[in-house]
Amino acid sequence: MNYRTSDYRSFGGALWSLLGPLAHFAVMYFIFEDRFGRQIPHFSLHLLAGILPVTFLNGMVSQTMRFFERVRSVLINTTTPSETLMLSSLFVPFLKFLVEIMMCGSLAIAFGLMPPAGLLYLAALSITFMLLVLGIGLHLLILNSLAGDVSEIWQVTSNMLIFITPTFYTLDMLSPWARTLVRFLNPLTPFIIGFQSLVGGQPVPYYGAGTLPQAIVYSCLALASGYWLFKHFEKQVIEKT
Amino acid sequence: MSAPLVRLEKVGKCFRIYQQQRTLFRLGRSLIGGKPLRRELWALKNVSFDVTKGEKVGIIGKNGSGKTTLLRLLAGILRPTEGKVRTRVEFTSLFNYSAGLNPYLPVIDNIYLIGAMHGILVSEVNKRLEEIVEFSGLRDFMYVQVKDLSSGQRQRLFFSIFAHTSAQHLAFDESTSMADLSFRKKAADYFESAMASKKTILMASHDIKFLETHCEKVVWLDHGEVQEIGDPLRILDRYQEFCLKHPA
Repeated sequence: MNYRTSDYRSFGGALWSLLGPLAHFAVMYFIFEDRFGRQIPHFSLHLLAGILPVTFLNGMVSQTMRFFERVRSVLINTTTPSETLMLSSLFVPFLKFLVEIMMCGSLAIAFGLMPPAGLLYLAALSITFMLLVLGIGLHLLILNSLAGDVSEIWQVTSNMLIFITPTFYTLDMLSPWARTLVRFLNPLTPFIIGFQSLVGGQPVPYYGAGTLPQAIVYSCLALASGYWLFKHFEKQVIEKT
Repeated sequence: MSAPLVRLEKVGKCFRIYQQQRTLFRLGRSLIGGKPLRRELWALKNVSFDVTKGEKVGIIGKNGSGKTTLLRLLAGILRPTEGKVRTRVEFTSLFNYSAGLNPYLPVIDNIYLIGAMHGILVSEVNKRLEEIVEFSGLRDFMYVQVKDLSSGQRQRLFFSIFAHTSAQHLAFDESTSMADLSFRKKAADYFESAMASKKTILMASHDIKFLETHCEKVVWLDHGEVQEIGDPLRILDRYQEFCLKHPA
């Protein structure tokens, strides 16, 4: 039913929903192309592969944070499991992201940068990324229920994400301390450099054998702890007399 | 006498409500300082009674006395904090006349959506669609988005779907205050026929006359505690006296 209310029911609607990330991409491209485009091969795809996941994360987390507000009346009046409602509300954004990243991959194939089999790796990485996003969303959902200013803090932080994530730059362009911070403290980094390496047809700096395991560990940790928090606080947050 | 379908044994329900702190900083300070983040509110205490198959049980009490909490426990939506709720069946419940309606979908899609929430299969909805539409009186609004319906029309839609479940065990809060007179008559007829059927019904209501006529047992709650259980005539009389002596 969430799919039916989305703009994803028609081709035109699906195109329309792509306009947001594309507009974001266009602005970033024209601003940074001259400065970074010369140093980063296939800058447009590099940028797109960075912007899509960050845009997805921003949208998804904002949506997940309002989960209890949206479905409280269903949870308190029916036996529908909260997990069913959560997954059903996330289905369309997940699908949308998968389509977007696959389109990005298709461009890479068209330019001869990625073999068609690369789409499978791209899909696997996207699904792992979705788990990370869900985990982050669950943490913020609970925090938002416990403290009133979390959504405002998230708004500010989400605006900075594009700059503290290697979307339009590569890690080797940063100072050593900034690189360490972005590489290890930003859970998005292994995913972003993974996407960029796949669609760019060559490893971006600091992409290595440890990148994928790092991404998987971040996802598992975020999802497991987020789900634990969700189940621990869910009843108390929705049970109001 | 048949074995009870539902047995409540010294059931208590305490809501542990987390109070939202104004800032993350305050939340951290409260956590470090060991200040309680939640307050406890006992909505029900020490409630025990049985419901047998086909029995009609009325639940009365002032606002905030724990009626809906009790129904939610019986329907399996809430879990008791203490005591046990033993049920051999699942109750189909109706406590809110808009829970789950998707405002951006047309009426017809919402029939399937709410039907699914009440455990009605698509094939069953297909069979009963005509009856549901007729009952709701929304035939001309089938393709109108629910957000464009009035509150009363939404209530009619929701109630019509609920009224067409084939569930044999129902738990509901009877109030159709927003619907117009003609629909209230329809709803009243539905309640009458449900009460005359072999269905097991748990019902919270303020309609003394209705409970007197149809219920075999009444549970009177006050401040979450059972005041009396049993014969409707006697208990409803005492409840009315109590309400006159202790106005809200």
